[in-house]
Amino acid sequence: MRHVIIGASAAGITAAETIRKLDSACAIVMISDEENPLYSRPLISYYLAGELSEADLSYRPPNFFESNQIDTRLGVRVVRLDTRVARILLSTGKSLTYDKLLITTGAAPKFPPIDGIQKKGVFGFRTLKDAQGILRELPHVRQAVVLGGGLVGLKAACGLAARQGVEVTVAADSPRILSQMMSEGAATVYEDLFEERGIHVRTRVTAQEILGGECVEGVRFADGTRLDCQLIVMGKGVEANLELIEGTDIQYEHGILVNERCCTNIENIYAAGDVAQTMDVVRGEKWTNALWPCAVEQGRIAGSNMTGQVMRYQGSMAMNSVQFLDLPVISAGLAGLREKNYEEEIIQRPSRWVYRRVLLTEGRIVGFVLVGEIERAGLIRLLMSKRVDVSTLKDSLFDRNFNFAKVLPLVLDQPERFSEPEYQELRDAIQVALRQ
Amino acid sequence: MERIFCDARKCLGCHACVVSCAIEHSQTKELFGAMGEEEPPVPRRAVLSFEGINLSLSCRHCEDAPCVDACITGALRKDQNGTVACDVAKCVGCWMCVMVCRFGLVSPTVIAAKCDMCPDREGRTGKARYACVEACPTDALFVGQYEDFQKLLAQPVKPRSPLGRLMGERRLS
Repeated sequence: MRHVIIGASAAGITAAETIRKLDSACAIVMISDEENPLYSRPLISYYLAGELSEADLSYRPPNFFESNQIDTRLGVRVVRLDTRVARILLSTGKSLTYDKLLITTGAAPKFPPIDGIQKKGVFGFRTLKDAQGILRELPHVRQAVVLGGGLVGLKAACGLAARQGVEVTVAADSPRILSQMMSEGAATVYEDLFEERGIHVRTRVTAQEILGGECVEGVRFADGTRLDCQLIVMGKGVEANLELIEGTDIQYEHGILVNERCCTNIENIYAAGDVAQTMDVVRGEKWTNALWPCAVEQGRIAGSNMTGQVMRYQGSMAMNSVQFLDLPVISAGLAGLREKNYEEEIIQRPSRWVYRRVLLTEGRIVGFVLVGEIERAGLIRLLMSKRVDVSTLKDSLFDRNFNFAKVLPLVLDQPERFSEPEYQELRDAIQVALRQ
Repeated sequence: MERIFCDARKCLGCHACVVSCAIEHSQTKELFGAMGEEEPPVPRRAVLSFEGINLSLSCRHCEDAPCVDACITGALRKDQNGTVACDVAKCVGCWMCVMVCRFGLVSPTVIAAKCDMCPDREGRTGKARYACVEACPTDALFVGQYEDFQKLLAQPVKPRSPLGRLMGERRLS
């Protein structure tokens, strides 16, 4: 049995690890276009800031491939996939057949078609190579502009701002920054914080042209204003890397459509991670949630099913946790600025740097954001992911003493929803005591 | 794998386990020293009170641990014993683990603070192996495999301890 995995980041690595754990004899081949793929992409902002070294970015031991007996083709791209004969063609000119194929080709930063976007000094912010490219430019950068006010853009902005002598401006199309993670109230907390720490924020501005000769010298916006800069980081979101499967019989929309086993419409081909479109438990439809925790879980599910051990994915959801300039935020579900599909919202802003918001529909949590104090996030997310009615709990969600005890009645009453073995153990212990 | 379970029939909700956990994870590892530390130590367990029952709970070291999936640094890993431990040198404090913990039992301090099965007590045996177990006045905390804990639950509880009565135990036989 030969398993071939295209891509070696969160989903691919986890899948390979899972396959090896379940089957010590099979062949595993991993192909990555990166020479050294064993690093964590969400950490590159820490590397840019100078807080972590390249070695610190590694999330597996350096001998990971050898110790798991994985045959690697690094710095190599897959240029064609022929599903009929189960074969891939590599950029080296060699071809490779597979019994089971896992596609974890990930996503790439969007580069909108604006004039001058190809100039030297315009970077995406996804790979270690991106971060290293930015660092090489830095010595002659006085001003940097981040286009896009999303998570990736702001992480880049914070990384850049940590370097002395760089003036950073975030320029977003949307009315507020972080508009996919939070609505107005929470976003203003961050806009204030960024300004206070010297990162300029401009909203409702659309970049129209990148100015300069060979190198970037500035950016001009649709309203006619311009900013001088020697470096631009694109933070306009990502799109799934689908080139390989275009023209094949694999079904896709925004990403490769997979079922609850992370299998595509073709029985021996699986997909996981940022390239996959999975059932979103909050939205109730298939969605690409390009997020590290989702990628790892999908990798585990795909790997397990590839070895024949059936494992079903509960589904993905939008969720993220990040700490900008020491102020943490956790957001999940439909908490963004444009999400209007909720019936009720609970908002608290007890102090300048603390903001909490939970959105409900038909008694169920459909989204939340916690800024500043994030302790209850896991439990609120649990209630959301289990789709339980929280009518009796909703007024105490933000209480200081809100803990798992408040969730217990639901865990006891709804074993079919709270089906993880750890909850069953807890039910056993509680029920014995209740009978006493 | 060996884990710590709480027999809710015996738990008084006295929080001795919580206090001892905080002390164990302090710099000085003793009560008054811990109280004076600049960063107060954070307990990695909580006492749940529910319909007159108390239950002391810490990380379940879940089979498919969501915190391990979510960790972007590889700091949270399952070791060969099945313990989910945090490599504090690798943790950057992104709090993905806080976001996904099914029990709300990872605390965002400087690093992800959670039950680590008392690594500094390695070598100690019996009750002294874990700070919370040692501190429990009624032996409500059980160490072992889940199957063994189930057997324990199937047996009637032993007569209450005098200390338990003193501390206000409710269900006197």
